[in-house]
Amino acid sequence: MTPALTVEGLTVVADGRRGSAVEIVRDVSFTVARGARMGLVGESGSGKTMTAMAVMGLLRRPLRVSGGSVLLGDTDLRALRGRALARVRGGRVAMIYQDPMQSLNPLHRVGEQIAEAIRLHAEVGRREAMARAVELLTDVGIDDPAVKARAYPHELSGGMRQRVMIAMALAADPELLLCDEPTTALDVTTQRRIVELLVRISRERGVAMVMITHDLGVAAGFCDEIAVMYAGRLVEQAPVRELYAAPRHPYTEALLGAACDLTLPLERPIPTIAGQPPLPGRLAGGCSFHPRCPYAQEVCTLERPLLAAPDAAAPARVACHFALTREKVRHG
Amino acid sequence: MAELPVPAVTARERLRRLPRPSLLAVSAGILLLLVVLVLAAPLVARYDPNEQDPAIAFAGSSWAHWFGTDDLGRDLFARVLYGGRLTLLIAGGAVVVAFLLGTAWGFLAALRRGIVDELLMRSADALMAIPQLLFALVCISAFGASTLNLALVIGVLLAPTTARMARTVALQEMNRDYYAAAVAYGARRRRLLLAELLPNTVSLLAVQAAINAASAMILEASLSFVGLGIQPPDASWGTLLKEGYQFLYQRWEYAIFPALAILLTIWMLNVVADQLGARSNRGRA
Amino acid sequence: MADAPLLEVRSLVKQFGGRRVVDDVSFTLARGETLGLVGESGSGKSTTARCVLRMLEADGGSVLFDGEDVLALRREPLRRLRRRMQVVFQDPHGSLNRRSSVEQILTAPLAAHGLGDRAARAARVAELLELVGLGGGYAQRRPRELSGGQAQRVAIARALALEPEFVVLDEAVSALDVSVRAQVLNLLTQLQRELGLTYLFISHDLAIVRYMAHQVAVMRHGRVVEAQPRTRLFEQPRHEYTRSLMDAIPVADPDLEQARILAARE
Repeated sequence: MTPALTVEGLTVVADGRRGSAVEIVRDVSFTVARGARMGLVGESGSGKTMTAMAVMGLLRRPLRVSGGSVLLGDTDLRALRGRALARVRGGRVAMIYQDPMQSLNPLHRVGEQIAEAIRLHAEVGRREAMARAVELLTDVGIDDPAVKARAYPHELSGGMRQRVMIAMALAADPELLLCDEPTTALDVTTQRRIVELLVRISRERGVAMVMITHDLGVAAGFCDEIAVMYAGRLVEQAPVRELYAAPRHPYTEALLGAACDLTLPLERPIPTIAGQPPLPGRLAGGCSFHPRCPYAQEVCTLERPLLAAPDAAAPARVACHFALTREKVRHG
Repeated sequence: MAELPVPAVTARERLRRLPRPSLLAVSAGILLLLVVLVLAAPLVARYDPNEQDPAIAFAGSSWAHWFGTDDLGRDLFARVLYGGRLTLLIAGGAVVVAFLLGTAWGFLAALRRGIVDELLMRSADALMAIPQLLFALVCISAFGASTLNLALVIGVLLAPTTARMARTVALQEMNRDYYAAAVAYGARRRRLLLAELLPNTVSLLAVQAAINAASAMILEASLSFVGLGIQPPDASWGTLLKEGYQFLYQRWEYAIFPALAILLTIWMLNVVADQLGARSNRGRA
Repeated sequence: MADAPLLEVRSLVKQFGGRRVVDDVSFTLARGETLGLVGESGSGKSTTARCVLRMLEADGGSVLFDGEDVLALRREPLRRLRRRMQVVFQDPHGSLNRRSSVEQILTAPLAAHGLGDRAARAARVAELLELVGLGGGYAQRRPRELSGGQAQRVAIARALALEPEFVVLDEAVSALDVSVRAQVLNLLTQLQRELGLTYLFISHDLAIVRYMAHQVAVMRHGRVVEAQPRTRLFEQPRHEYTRSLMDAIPVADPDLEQARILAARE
């Protein structure tokens, strides 16, 4: 079966003045199987959001896709224009954001907005659409959905709004849902509820999901597979358990080390990654991570490591010259 | 296939990447051109605007008199240019008055809150409730229709809306953390006002200033139209429009050109205001 | 007087439109220690801090700072007190005046209290930037030229400009990326140690509070539901709400997390 999403060699550039262009996303390839949940993990500026925006065809000047392909099932999204693209966007693929207010109209009742989204992609009457909207609100775990459908966005709590936005994204029964930091602005307890909801929806409806997050804790509970981005490139991609148990890229390892949870040792500094994330356009030669990497050797400054399987048996891919030798040192 | 021929794509790409002048630049450029023309009136116009020559009264457009002449044989092109000086002077003066008065008014209300706020804003409401033209009529009848008086009266009329705007944007800024931080380190009110609030609201206040300039021109024209504007023999665009209106059927150029000047300026001011507003909104997002 | 707390809050009350947002909140904070104030959004933790800092006027209760009645101070004495208590907010860029340079941002507090001349202030700016791990090269930058982590370091430097004893950290690391957050947390602990600072550390994230705070107070609906020393709170949380907050913290362990999420569906 064709995957829900196939991204091949995707490159996004920001056009500067005088014809210069800076690469924001560089040669990114991954697939998401139908019904699978992938995490796109990285820090701000790593290009993870731009990757999602490019998949949705939402990039605006000065940003544009300069290369690669994006296939939704068998449909080449880059070949679509105008109405055909609009039908797919919000229809077969939908996106939810960190700030629900970005996609909710403050002047309309939430039920009407969901009904509107339903009518946009299906030939149904106003009343029928409203009934389905209330049904969707029930599905996303909102109590009293008929009453809440009549509320305006500002009358709802942050978690509730996020649920409404998820309901709206589900309106056209998409095959793929892109979630851009959907829980970052929420309290921990609400955060957990939303992750639970997304996992349930993905299982029940077979919706493939890509979650963009910088929080490896959230990604752990949500994803089957994780792709780690650094400076616009994928540096590691692996099934979730493998990645957490034995991170192969030094950046992944460092990210896991810097995460704050209840097991963090007290009274000593949290392990960090030295230096600052690089700015696009001002990347180091060779491996972009080498200036911050504790394992860096001369070869890292000269040659860019390719994303490849470290050994034939592993389903993981990693872009590091020392993916295997580093392993050996640690285990042995 | 759906693929386009390669050269076409690159050509289109190249076109897309060409720097395009923004709407803001175009409209501001037209405004600037108008101002320069009007200021350079003595250099541009070939006649004295008040020089009468009954022999050529009501002449139509010609090479000698681009806009034709009026009932007294005065060159209309020169009169429109010189009239623009008065109009822009009054509008400019009114904008400055409205900005100073309105900003002080609004910021004070925002900073003091409570009863002071209440009083200041109620008085703004009260002033706004009086029909503008009526208020101006009374004041101009009382103090006389000099350029200074017109600028002052119109400026005062525009101050309350400016004050409302200034108060709203000030309150917005005061909710931001950089302002809270300044309060926390013990900044005095003067600093809060001049170093924190003003620089961060000036772009939005500029929008209001552009709107004010347009309103000022309309008010000036209205006052002139009822005979309380600039007095003869000098003429603003408003007075010219009024005089021309009387002769609309004999000599259409007489009324049309001042009207076009007013229309163009107000239109461009509105575009500038729109674009500035959109830009500062984007800056905040 | 070494044992006297630096900050003592008693029965603090703040109302908005008749609703008690801070309801009878009391705590004490010893010199050189950190009190973690934890709770979800709307629990009243930030409002509490703003009342303590006199950025909001409390409707009841008392705040003693080094024995001085904070809520009774007016004008100049209040302004003098502000030198001793400072604050760092959540949004690094929002808390810097985007029209000012870093140097202007850092000298503003000095100017507000008439401290030093031109040269002394410039020297202090360099010193402050060094202190928060930024080089002097940052002095002429504008906030929009800074990353989130750098902007937050500038905000910390501004808070330290007046050499305060007490700093409120109001969700100060919540908007930062994981690796930057770790750096800033390390910086904050190091500054506390070197300068003997006392922190009120406000966060919705119990894991970070556990790392930072010696004492923890859990707030809910404007009330403190549980207050304990860190070790005891995390070993034996007494209040059910505290326990639910702890359970909600995601762990970077797929097996555990996914099992919990599956369990929640039943």
